[in-house]
Amino acid sequence: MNDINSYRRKFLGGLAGTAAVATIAPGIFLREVQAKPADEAVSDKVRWGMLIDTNKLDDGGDACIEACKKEHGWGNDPKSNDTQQAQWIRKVKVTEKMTGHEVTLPVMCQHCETAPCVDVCPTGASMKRADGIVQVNKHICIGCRYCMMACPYKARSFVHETIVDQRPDTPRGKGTVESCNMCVNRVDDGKNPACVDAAPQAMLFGDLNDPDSEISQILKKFGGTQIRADLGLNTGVRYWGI
Amino acid sequence: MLHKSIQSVILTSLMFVLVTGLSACDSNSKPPELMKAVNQFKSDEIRDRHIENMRINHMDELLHKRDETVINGIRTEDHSLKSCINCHIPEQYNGKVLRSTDPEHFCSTCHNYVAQKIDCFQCHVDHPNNSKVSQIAPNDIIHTNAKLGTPSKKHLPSTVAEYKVENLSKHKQVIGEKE
Repeated sequence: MNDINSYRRKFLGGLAGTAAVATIAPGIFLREVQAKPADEAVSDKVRWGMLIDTNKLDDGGDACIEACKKEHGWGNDPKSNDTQQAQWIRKVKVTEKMTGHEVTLPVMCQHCETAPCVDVCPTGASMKRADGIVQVNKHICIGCRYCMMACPYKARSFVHETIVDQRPDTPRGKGTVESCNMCVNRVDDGKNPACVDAAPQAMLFGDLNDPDSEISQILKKFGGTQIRADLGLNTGVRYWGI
Repeated sequence: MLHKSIQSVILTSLMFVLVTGLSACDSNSKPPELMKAVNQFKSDEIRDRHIENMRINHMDELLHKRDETVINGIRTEDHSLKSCINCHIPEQYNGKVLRSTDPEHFCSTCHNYVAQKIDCFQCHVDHPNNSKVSQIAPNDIIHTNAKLGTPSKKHLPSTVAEYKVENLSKHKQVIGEKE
């Protein structure tokens, strides 16, 4: 077993172990992400979600960010300055004033159930897939950037320049808005999002609608914090340690 | 009689203009030579059917498929733009990457000929870009964070990190309970 696997086992060990004992048999892990047949449409029976343990992210999420850049090819647009560069996922540092305790967490699209970006989009380009993944349908995006203003997590970016040599599975183009799409191409293929694979000791991806999934079991037992839970958006990305 | 002959003269001259015009048109209107696809069909019959269908319907097929893919997550190879590109565009052409702005590009050859602007490649990559995403491993990653301007942080040795983190993490309790 390599290091990553052993981290993952430890991370999942406690709860997944008990859950497995209760439901199936010890040592049997249900596979979290199951590939749907390629010709089948996504259904609302699943809702993809993510749990991030910030205490286990010793690099504050740098590995996730690099993996995301590699997968989707953003972050190096030659003519854009630092404020114009796309940021699908970014590091946010929070310091508690009294104790000076610092927490660094990766923040990306939180894949809200009731997403403000979807509400405000005039063309329907900002959309939520049946399986809960929020993304931009760039074919009909007109680049008005209402969604960027509506998003309380500052998760969306605008592409300011002509892009070439995109990743084949991640089209990116001037004049459209983009954001984390939970690696739809990978998820449809039965894989984890790239960031989860880059930090398997701290991140867990799975189906929030399935009460037997690892992520649901862990969230049921220990809960998970939403960022700005007061907005009542029921985010698909949950955190520990913030 | 005179009237009739004038009519016939006009008619013949018109015919002449039409025929010469058409023949001139004919010589210029040969469709442009298209680049041969990278992969070939097993039989000519299948290929001919594919060509016949695609000449007329490729835009509709692509339009239909794009919504199926983006909205419903259907990612079959049929009529996916990625498959078209992978088969019709070589990875290298004359030692360089073939782009949609080049006249030899499979799509551009015809689209230039009929002066039809093509929008796909404003977002989609216009040549096969199959360079595998190199192994995503936390250790060999360069840590930069342009926007925050924070100094790049070296990845901590896993054992040290594990030790520190586990002391704080809620998950410690989970593992602790089990052990």
